[in-house]
Amino acid sequence: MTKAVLDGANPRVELAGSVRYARNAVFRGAYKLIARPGTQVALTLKDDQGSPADVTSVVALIHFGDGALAVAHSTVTSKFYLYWLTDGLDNWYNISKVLQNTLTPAPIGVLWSSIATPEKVLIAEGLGVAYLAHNDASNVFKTRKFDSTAGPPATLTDFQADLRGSGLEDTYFRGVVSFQQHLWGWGYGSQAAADNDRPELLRFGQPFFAAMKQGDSFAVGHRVRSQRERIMGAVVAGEVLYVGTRYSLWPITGFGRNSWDKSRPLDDSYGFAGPFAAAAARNGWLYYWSNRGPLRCEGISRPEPIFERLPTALAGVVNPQNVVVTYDPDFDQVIYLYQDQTSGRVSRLCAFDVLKDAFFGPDGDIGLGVRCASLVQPASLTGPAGSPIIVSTGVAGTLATANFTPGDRSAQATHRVEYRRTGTTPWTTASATIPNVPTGDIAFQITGLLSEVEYEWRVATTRNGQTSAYDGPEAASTFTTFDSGLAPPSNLAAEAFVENPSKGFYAFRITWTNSGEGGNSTEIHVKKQNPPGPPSGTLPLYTTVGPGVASVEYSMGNGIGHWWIEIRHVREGFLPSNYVGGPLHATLA
Amino acid sequence: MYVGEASGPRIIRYGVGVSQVGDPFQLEVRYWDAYPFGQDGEGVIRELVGFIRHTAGYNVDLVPIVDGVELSASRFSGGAPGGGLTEAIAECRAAVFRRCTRIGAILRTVQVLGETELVDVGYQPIVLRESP
Repeated sequence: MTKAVLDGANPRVELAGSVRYARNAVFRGAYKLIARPGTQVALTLKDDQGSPADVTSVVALIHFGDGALAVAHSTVTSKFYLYWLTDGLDNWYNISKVLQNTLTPAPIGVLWSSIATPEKVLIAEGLGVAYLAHNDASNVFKTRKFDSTAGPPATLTDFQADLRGSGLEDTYFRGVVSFQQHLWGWGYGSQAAADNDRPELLRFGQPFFAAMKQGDSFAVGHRVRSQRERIMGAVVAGEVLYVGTRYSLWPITGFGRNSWDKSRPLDDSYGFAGPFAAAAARNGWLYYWSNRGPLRCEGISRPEPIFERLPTALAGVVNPQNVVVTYDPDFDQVIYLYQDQTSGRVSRLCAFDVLKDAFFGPDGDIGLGVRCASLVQPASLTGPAGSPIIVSTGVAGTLATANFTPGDRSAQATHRVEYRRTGTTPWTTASATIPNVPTGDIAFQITGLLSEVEYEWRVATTRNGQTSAYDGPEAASTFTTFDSGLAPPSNLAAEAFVENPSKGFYAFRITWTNSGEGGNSTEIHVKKQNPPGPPSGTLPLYTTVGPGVASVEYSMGNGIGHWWIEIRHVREGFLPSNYVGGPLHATLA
Repeated sequence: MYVGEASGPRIIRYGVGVSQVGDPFQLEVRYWDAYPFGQDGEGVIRELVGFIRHTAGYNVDLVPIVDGVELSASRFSGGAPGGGLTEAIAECRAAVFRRCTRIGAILRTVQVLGETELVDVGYQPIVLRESP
């Protein structure tokens, strides 16, 4: 799948040259396989009780206008709630679009009531209006309409259309999507009993999200009203609206309602496993999860199965209708999330790197259960609101803590701390991605400093690729480190023993006494050389063992001769101890 | 990118920092087996050597897989690069000393401390009998 880098400076043999699997990894450049980034809590959604409590499930998230919309459900109140968020998901609006400046949004409205269980909710946007469809529609869950252009306050009403020539009536779609400035909906139709469940029917409205009318529809599939051909979802990728039933895929192409065409299915075997099982990736590619596993498609070419590349993952999937697929352009990965078979939690199943054309996965747990995922990008490319302000510097041995006040509190802002020896020119970047905090100061630790040296640091803020002016260096950001060498280990000894009698292989058992300082690791350096031995500090590193370990075995093969051993303690942020051993001379005759 | 929690109230931002809301995660890479002595050859693998590039320390396990059998993991850890360096490559040697035909390896982090990159995994073979 991928190839590891062979370090040209080391003479060893590269191992096989290929990776069987890589979990929690991303590619960064040729052959660079790096641990993926982590996660942070952005917002915590609340219900509408007098003393608001946490909701119990986040079921939908989508960018909307210059911000975002989220839908959540509470098993306590049995309601679905709508939330209006900023594009950075670091603040929220009330129904009048007034910023509320907390990280615990309250709902701007109730979508549906008296529903004990969460369900997927699909949202389409057009002309400042959001259309919200409950995926288990039946004739209970009306399609809702959130109009941000009304008011203030904005309005939340039932979405009505004339779908059977009897005037405006409530609608009951299972899903909605925007395609070529038209609103599309599928599943249930109007409130008339005969029109309630139309699993194969795809309706579309007038241009620019004008009214839906009776005759504007497509029926995908061949059988008409067959549950086997129920529309599961629809996704726009490139110039195509892909409509996935459970076992087929239909492309709708053309330029406007007079030329749309859906006559040729691309696939009659594999469709969409669920409403969130498909996503558009770069260059107009569609990636989706079928009943068989992942496939991809471009334009009106035949879908390409990619499920044969991850048999291990396929074996672990349960409830494929709950698979969530999304594309993350920041890491060039299509991300598949599924309910873990063992724990019942939702995990990151795997990621498909579209540049490397390779799967990474199956991955481990992403830490919590996931019901929906979405890319919410900034609506504008606003730069930092201001420069950060240096507060103070804390010094601890070869560490220093840079304390500063952010000049921009938005979640998109990150901070860059650079340092250098006072009086020198080049700056060293300690970190360019220090996360922001909504309140208080930031304390960032600069590591890897030399002892008893004067340094200075400066800080700037980056937001949407734009960087503020630096603050510093100044008196509060100038400091001198002090000596913090570790105490050395003691009682180093080496005892030879026969490791494999039949082969005549020998080994040393190297033992020592740790200094007692917590957190110290121990480096063991070994070299074979005739007397006189090598000078201290020149022996190659054999291994580093973690805190608390006080012995290690070193295999010598049939290495009869003179061996030299020395050890020292090491620990992050501290000078290593002196070597112990001198080096120690051990012979095997 | 953001994800919505299935059994809770939180919207989670993905792609930030090295820690994770909820359970931690680990980088894990497994290599296909190599046949350094040929498909039917035999020899001794003295040790596996993993190279890890890191910016803020490392804590990893290196697991030799000899003829399909996973051996005990060797654990390696170290602090942030010193001496003004912003990154370093750690050399992690796991003694193997097993007679075998094929050798594989799993390298996994025990804790992700900062940017962590797998640079390479190699081995030191002693040939006993080679096959074509």
